[in-house]
Amino acid sequence: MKFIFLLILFFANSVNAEKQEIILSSTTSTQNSGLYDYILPMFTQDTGILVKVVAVGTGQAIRIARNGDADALLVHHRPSEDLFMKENFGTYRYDIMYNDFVLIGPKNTNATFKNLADFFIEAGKFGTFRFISRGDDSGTHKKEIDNKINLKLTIEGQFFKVLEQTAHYSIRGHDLTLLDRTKQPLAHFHAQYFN
Amino acid sequence: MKLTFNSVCFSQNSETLLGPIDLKLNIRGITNVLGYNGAGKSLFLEICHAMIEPTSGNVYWGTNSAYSSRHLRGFIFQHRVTLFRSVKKNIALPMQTAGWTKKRIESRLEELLCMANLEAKGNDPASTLSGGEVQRMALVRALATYPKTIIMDEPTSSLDPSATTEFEKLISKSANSGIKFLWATHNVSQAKRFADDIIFIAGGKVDESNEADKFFKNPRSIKAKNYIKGI
Amino acid sequence: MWSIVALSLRISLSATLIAALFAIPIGTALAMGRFSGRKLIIMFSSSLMALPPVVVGLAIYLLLSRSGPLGDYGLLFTPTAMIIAQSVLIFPIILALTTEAVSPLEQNYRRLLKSVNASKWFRLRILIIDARFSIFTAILAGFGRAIAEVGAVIIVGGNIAGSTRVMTTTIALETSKGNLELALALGIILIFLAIMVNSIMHIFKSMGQKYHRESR
Repeated sequence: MKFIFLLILFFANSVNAEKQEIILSSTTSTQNSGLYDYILPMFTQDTGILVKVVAVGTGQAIRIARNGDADALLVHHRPSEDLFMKENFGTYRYDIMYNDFVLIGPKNTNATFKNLADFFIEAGKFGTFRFISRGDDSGTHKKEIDNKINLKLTIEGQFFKVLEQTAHYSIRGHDLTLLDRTKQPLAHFHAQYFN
Repeated sequence: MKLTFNSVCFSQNSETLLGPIDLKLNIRGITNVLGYNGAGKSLFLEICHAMIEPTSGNVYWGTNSAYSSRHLRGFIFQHRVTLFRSVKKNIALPMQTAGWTKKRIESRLEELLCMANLEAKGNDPASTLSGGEVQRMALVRALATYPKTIIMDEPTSSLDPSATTEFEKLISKSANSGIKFLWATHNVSQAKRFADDIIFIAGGKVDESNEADKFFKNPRSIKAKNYIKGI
Repeated sequence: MWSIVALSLRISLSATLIAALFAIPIGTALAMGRFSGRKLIIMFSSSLMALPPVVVGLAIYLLLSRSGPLGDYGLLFTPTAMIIAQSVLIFPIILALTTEAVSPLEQNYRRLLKSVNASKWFRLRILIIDARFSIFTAILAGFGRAIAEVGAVIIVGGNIAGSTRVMTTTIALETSKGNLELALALGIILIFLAIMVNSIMHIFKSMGQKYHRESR
């Protein structure tokens, strides 16, 4: 009997959701930055609209929006965004942030690179560093790929390893990886900044 | 109570295990079903109670089919066949399927437990009963909804002599109150003491169906003669 | 954190209840039935047990998406969607385990129930009641899988804070953020739940054995 009660309560709840709410399809990094925690309560207070954030990779976020499952979209990959607009899925598009990518590796790494492309060239030449790729179709991953395509490097280069999710604990030894600088704990790493 | 078999056959994997049987029998009191092991006695009884559908032919009790008259009969198995429940709940089973009210079931249960001499064990799990107790429980379970006929498949074959005697007493009592029995047994002396009529089954067929006195005095077939002599 | 635990329990208990409501009668009927195609259904349902949760999640996502056939109900990214996904996921588990639990009992009862002229419904009822301990074990197994599941609920729930974020999706998220403390705390609660579910299963199993003490 107890279980049945719970169930009915639940359905009552979900039917009751009459207040206005929207779904925001967003990249993980934006959510991890803490921006939403700060800004959304204020927004809800001002407008009465509750914002539900579905945080996924850029590719999935765009797909969700294409399917009509999100009301707003917040991503960071310009070519995909332009395509999305061109195919008439979106009504308005605004630039609101720029990405701050960092290349991170062990503290004792002395190498410096002028930019990301420079790094890929150097790494390809000497094979000194192993680059850990996101491989998840996120904005960060797209950034990696854009650079490699420019340089005509193959994705399966021997210094190139694909991990499902990059987090600080997955980087070891001489590995380097590209991160979006948000709340990632970077203290242990030597970081180089690229825009 | 008239039992009719209309060219009944039962076969499995293209092997005929029973029949063809044509039979018209008026069950007067106790009818014993005799026959060697594997002759088809159990099969015969289960077809009588529509537990098994014959491959061809029909079985009637009076004018009703065996299936549609099932609620008018009780069935007792050779071995321990019980629900994993208390004695009371086991006996209540046919009353539940007949749709009796709880109150009616309660009062009938008391009579039946008393009849089976199991008053003290009503709430025990049926699995704790002795062999004799289980068969007495099975008998009152079969009697619960006032059936006209009880079919029994060698109910005393695994009981010790005293348990057998106690069980037989119950049968005599019920028979005296007008309940008919169709009863398979291996025990010729038991059949001699109880039977009004005999059905002798051999090789899946009814070899002879006769009044008990006539059957034991002058069996028609050699098989039956040998069976009575215990050969 | 406790609201996350509560939401997890609410979703998984609802899903278990719904799946059990369908799986138990159907599983029992499968154990009773002698119809053709029964073996096929049993085989099919036990292979469904091996369904990867993400595949179930993806299928439910496509169904519930605004562009999918059930899109008009707006169920995607709600707890209801998660309940649906978990129900679908554990239905075959409860079904197969119920069939497995009832079959030997049915063998035992078949002739007796036939002899007392029991109707199909009566047989179904009595088998469910008398196999209740093993069936309860089946339900618990389903619940265990539901509460520990992450792949399907993260797809159809969206892992929205305060709305569809459950224990497992929180663990996934916090781990990826590097916040291992919260992830571990929730992990410990999950392990604790698993141990609890398993010990209850053992208790019920032994209770069932006591009642079903084989006669003869």
